[in-house]
Amino acid sequence: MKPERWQQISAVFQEAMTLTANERVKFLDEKCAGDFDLRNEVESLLDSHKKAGKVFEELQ
Amino acid sequence: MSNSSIVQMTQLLVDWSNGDKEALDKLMPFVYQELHRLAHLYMRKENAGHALQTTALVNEAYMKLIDQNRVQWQNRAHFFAIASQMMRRILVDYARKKLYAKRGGETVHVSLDEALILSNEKAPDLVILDEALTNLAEMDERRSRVVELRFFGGLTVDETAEVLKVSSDTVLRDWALAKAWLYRYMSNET
Repeated sequence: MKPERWQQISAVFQEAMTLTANERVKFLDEKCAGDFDLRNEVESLLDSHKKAGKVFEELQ
Repeated sequence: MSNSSIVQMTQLLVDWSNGDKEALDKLMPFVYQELHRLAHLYMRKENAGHALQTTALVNEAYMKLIDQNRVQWQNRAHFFAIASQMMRRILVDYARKKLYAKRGGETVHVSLDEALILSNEKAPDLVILDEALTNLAEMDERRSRVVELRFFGGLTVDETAEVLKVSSDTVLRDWALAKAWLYRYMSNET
């Protein structure tokens, strides 16, 4: 992945993290309009984030 | 560790925190040696299946090498920063050896104490985490460092912020994103 693309994904992810579930849908609709791949990436990361906390506790 | 060595180590740490790169080169072998020694010591004590407490171990090395009365918390953060890189190397090396031994591939010598450091279930995870972190670093050095510092060095959010010269909020956001990315990477690999 190109660093510029990664920066774009990071920025959308981090802003989405600050929003409620309802706000998030609207935010992603706007930010990712016409860029299906971006939306996919961000949603997949948001989903991973939900599951990640526990796994890292187990590792340590 | 003699008193004069502690004075010397402490001075090297302060010099390095103040920007003297050569001080770091001199300090590193001592820290690595001490971490390695402590890791072995701990492994003998730990029961099989228990993960090594990396944070406790790094802290012990710190107490042993550095005179706490002569440093500030920022110096401590910098010590933990190099120690976290070393802990990563030490732990991942052990995990790799365990993996090879399990697969019965090449004849890899795994001593009893080494075998105790990680349960078999945890060994592959650490190897993949290391690989994932290396990949993350290629496109995002800072976020990879955040994980290394917090996970392998046990640095707090504020200490991590001091080492990376960013705000604590940035560290928290980076940590969240890096964890999500690593989790996804590791899920796809296993």
